[in-house]
Amino acid sequence: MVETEAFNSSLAMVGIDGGRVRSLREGKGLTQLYVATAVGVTTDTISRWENRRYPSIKKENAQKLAEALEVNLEEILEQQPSPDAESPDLPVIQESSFSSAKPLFSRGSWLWWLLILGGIVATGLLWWFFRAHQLPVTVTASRILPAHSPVGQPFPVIIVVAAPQAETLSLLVKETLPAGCRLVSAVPPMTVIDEQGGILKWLSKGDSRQRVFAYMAVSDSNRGLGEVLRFRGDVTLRKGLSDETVIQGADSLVLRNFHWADTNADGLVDDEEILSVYDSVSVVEGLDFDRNLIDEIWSGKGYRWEEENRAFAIMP
Amino acid sequence: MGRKKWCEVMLRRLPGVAFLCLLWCVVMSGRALAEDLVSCRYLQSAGSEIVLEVEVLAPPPPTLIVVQHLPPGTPIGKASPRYKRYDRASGEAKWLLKGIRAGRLIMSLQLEQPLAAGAISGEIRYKDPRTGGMVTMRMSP
Repeated sequence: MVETEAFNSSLAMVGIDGGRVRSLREGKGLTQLYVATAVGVTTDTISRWENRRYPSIKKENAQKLAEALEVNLEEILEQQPSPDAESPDLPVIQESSFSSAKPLFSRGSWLWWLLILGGIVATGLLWWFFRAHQLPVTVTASRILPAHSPVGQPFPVIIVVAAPQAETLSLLVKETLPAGCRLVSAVPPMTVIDEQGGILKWLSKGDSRQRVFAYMAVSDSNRGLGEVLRFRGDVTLRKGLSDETVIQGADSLVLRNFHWADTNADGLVDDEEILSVYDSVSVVEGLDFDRNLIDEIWSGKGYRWEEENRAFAIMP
Repeated sequence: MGRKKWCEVMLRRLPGVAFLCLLWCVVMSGRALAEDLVSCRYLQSAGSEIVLEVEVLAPPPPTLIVVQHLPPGTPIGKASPRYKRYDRASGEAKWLLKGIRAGRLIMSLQLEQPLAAGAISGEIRYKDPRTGGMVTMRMSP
């Protein structure tokens, strides 16, 4: 019953105001690409929605569209004109109030009108000039990923997005998990998860210079030893001329029988390795990684992977 | 000295002054980077209690490893904060101190038998947040 309701809810259609969507998007300086990525549709679809007067779209997509435009859903829904809708509060302008008005173009006033018109044109030209020559806002994005991890053991992935300076910026981080890899947890929680396609999306707004997105992932237990998992992702800015920034840094992880914190794969977690773990991974507040196990391995004399138990055995 | 001549002299000296200023900036920034973020000293290093003072400057390294070498076979009664590992055979005690903030930290070890002066040594390891490099500092009484 609940499932049916959820199914019906996901199929519910609503009418949106295409013109309103366009004006909101343009007013906020959003690109069609940004909105399309946030909603999970193509730019053609966004264009079609905007160009039709009242297109009917899925309620789920309308909700995502409203979130991308930073407004309530009601603000983009089609407004049905009501025959009773009058505006009693609007002041009534009496015709007689114009009777004493001066003619619009009285002798001598044309110069003032010319000056005002010139001012408007100059302002427009200045606005166009600065907009056309505005430097694109760019960010850098890098991924921190362990070099290896055993099959079926969780490992952390950290994405650091840095802007050249602290400024209010809305961005969309999209990360695609490799096939045979699934999500365990994420910090901050994701805005959209497409579990079938393995796509994780964070919509982030704020003014901090550096933003960190982290998650724990695990490989499926049917993956083979030596297999390479490849990660890819990009960052889309709300405004700016650069469309997408590809996430640089580490992008592959090999399935090996060594703990991810043991970076040199020598069967030990030494001082430098544990300091690296605590200086990089543990600074992501709330990321639930296997810190107790790492502490135990560091405290012990070594470890080995036990295939039959699918767990690490620590040598005291 | 006329005003014109004074200006000429100053103009001639300007490159030299600018070079000295630049040199001073380079030296000062180098000194700031070379300054250790962590310093330590033994407040007590003999007898049945060992007390160590660790001072951390900003920006603090988030994690510190403190290693205390005791004579092999030394039994430890109490430790504050609690060590993560103690190998009695080698006499090596290790602490993993997380969430470090700038300031002073006092560490103490109560021993079950008194130690002679000069019998201990230690190390502090951390990653310098300014450079990312590993730092190892030796401690001795």
